[in-house]
Amino acid sequence: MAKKHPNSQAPAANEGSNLKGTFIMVMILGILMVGSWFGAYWLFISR
Amino acid sequence: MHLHKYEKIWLAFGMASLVVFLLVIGFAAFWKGTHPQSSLDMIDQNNIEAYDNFKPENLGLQEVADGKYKVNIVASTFNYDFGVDKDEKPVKTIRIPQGSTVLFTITTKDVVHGFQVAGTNVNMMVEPGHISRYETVMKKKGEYTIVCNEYCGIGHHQMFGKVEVY
Repeated sequence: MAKKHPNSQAPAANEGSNLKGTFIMVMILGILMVGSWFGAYWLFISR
Repeated sequence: MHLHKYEKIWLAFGMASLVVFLLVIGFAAFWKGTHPQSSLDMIDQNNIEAYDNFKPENLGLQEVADGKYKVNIVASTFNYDFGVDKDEKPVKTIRIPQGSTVLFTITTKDVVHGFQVAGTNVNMMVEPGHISRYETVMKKKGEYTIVCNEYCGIGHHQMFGKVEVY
């Protein structure tokens, strides 16, 4: 049986990865996109 | 497959946005009747006068009913033909009362032009062989510049006119 490398990451290590920063950036980008899209659409409807 | 809680949230957000955008497209296409402005009629670009709207005497602003107007225009390098006034001078300013419904009908004799009444939704591509139309309500008073927004040649910047809503 192959000996496990002491530094190799077990799949379970992903479980605890911190995605908070990624989540915040994804949401900021998403809200910017949706907001600017609806801004342009509102301009079209209101004119 | 395991997904992180945050991944589930942003995937749902992305998919929900997609559904919302598709619904908006459906609303615009089927409820509001939005379509490409040149999708209705074809014309022979070398004989545009065969079409009533583009006979020299029919160019420019015409009142069709109370509060309803139509404007027929012929675009060519590098001019918009809005007809002539009483003194046989070419018209460059179109005066329309506030709140009127205006139907712009335009075609081109030569190359692709644009027709934009800046500050309104009137913004069309004018293609040879096609008739472009856009109907709008002039809600706000003011002066609106008409510009060609498709690069059509060396005199592109000389193509302009004015709509005055009073």
